[in-house]
Amino acid sequence: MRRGAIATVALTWATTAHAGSGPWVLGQGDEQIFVGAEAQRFTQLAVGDGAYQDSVIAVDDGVMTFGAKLIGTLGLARRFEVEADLSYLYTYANEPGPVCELLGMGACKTTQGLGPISTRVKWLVVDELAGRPLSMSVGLDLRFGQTTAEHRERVTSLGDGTFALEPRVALGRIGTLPKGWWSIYGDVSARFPLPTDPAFTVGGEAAPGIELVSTVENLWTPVPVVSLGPSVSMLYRPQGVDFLETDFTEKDRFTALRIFVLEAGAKLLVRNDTGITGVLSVFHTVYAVNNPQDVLKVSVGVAFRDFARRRTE
Amino acid sequence: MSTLQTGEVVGGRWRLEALLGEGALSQVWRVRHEELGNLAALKVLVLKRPRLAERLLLEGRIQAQLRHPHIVQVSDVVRHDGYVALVMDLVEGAPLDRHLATSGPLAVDDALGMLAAVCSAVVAAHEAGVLHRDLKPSNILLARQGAGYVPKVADFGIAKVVETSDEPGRTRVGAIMGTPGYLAPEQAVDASSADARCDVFALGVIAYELLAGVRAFDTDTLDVSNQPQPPRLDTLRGEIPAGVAQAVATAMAFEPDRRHPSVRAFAEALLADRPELLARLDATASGVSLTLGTDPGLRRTVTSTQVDPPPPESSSHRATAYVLLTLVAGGALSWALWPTPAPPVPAPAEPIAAQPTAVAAPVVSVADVAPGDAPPADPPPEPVEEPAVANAASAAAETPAPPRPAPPPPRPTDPTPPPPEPVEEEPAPPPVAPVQQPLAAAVEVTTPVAEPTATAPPEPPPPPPPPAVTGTWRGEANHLPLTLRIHDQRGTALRAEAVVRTGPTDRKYTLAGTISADGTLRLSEGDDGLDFRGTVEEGVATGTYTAPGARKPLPFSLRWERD
Repeated sequence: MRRGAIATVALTWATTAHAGSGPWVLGQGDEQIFVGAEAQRFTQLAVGDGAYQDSVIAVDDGVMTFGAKLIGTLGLARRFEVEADLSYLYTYANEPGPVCELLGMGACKTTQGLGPISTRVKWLVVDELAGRPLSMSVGLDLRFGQTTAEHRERVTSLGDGTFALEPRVALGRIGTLPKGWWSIYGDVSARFPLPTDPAFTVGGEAAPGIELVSTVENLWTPVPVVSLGPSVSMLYRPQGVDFLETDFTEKDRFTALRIFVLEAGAKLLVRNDTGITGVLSVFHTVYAVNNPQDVLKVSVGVAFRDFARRRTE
Repeated sequence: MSTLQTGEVVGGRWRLEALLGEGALSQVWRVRHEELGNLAALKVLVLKRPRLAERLLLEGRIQAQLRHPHIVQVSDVVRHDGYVALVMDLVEGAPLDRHLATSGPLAVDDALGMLAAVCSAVVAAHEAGVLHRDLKPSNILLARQGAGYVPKVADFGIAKVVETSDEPGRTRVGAIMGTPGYLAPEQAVDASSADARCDVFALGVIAYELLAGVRAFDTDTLDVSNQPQPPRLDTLRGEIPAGVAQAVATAMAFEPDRRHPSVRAFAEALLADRPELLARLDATASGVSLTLGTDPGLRRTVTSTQVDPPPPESSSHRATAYVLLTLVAGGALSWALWPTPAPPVPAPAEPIAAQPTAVAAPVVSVADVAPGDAPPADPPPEPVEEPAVANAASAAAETPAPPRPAPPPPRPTDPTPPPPEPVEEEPAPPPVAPVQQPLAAAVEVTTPVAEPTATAPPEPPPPPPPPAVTGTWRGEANHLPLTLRIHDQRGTALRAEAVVRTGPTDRKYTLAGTISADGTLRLSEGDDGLDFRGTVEEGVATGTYTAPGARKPLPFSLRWERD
């Protein structure tokens, strides 16, 4: 199931909801609905110096986020899939203190509302089922983050407020085990925020800059009912300024940051014969620059295959 | 419900002998004429409601117009104690759906012969301005005749009179009548818009079922247009000619404009390579000759000696009519139609001038019997357990037909046999499979003329049954984990679902195919989709598959896990 974007300072899209991960797609006419919830917390912000982490700032008593996620996926044609992703987030600071006060602009006020809305198309261009050694897909995401623009200056913001195009490429392979199978995939996408009106800029630079997102995941399914495996994700926004260089009077003070985040975790899936799969994932930030460095993220969810067809039968 | 009792006399002349079946609105009784002694079927409305009675009478009037050897004949209407009833031919035999449930798909020749007969009936009805609108296997009765069967189409109960008539249209706009899986999509939307192409669609679905052994559209919803078209017949069975497969596929098109414009056009496309079957399309009403036999020099003209129905109620002439009929035909007919456990008496060859000249129903052909060939020495095995009169099917027509119960899948005795012991150990017996009752063994072309024939040649041994393969099979397709669930097996016909595990997302494919007695397996998605070909042996299935985009066939291997 697809891994969403990693949290940034403004703690956006804590979307570990999973649907359609890897290069593989649903079969024609198949559909899947995923309903999930997640929670994450961070207390420390890693401040960057160039490409590296320079120091760490404790963000008072930390920031909590709770979110609900709904993802619908549909196999439109053989090897072609579409997906829509919707979330509702609630973010608050545990005990706003001096850092929040220092940041100003209501940095630690509680924020809730719709998170970025994403739609995606994915095309499986190379198919292992047709005898190829790997599967490969190309896709395009459209991220509508405008609902998060109003409070993007907060530490507790829900997103960067932009609309972005995100082309994506994924590669993967599956193999069999005596009673199950294994899978491994990697995907890379480039997120291009489109100019807003008025344009978001900080110091003359467009904010946020282009972002690169990548995930590698390996799942082992010793028996069909359970899958388990590690996952690593990366977010890199090369264009921007360091935390201490940003203009804290600007609304886009956080979206203007140069960012790097690496997080790792594990995923557990439990499925039955009727197309219902439970998902549990836990991730923790491993390394961060200009972003929270101790984010712990837990998500749970249930995916229903062919939900609509089941309801009409 | 009706308070009719066995032994009661209705209409002053029909004695109730046995209740054959009943539905929500009607009962069907076996009755015997008090004077003539002939048997008939009586369909009586069990509710005393004028509107339903009117509809039953309309059904009777419609069917009474149709005189055809392959249409169940309505001969009289009676009223009794406020109830209305129709008298019709008594058909001793099972409906086609029951036969298919026990025997699986028909041999191609059998199926085409059956379809030729049914199409001739529907063509005749259409040319008389009558649509059926509810064609389905349970409305095709297999009347036993000699060593074979005569298919008869029944239950024109919701037929719509196409031509203009004195009476206003009976079908309310928006009223939907019909059977899921056989109802044309446009009929499901508005029954009043039905035309001949609705019957074309139903006949295409029936043809598919006869040849594939499974329903084309296995659904309980009236509108089938949201179902996928089933795989072509020639992808399921290689012996089905491409022309036949194409004709059936065209008939089953969801858009009426893409189907054959008439049942005649469908039959001509279906039987293009079988002119001898196509010739039977016009073996219909009085005076038409039906050419039989494989010897071109041998032509027999057959007419019927169908008994005249009792004259319509007329108090002034009833007694006279009865006396005349009794003097002319009563004794011979009583002897001829006296009930026996054996099939009914065949009609004599010579025409009887005083009788109506409806052509005798030719037995559905499978293999034309050449002159000098004898019919098989033994009668065919009974396809049903009781000699139920198939007219009961019409009694149940008002209630939704339950889906045909799938025969319980036989359990393999041991799909994974133990390791072989040296010499003394016998191999595990093959899994039990449903016994196929090929209609070919039961149906042949015979003429009503009894000719002395030579000694019957020995019957070929029945083909061995195919292995039972229902259940879950796991393994791999190329290097991908594959789960194959075969959830329906009827004889050699299979329905299955393949699930290819692709990480967290599975891809599912709906397949249909066949398994032969030697274990040859074929499952296909149809239309350039996945296609599996292999063999099944002792719980292991191996072979190759092709997938869209594949440059060559790829290996697959599966092991049977469980039911």
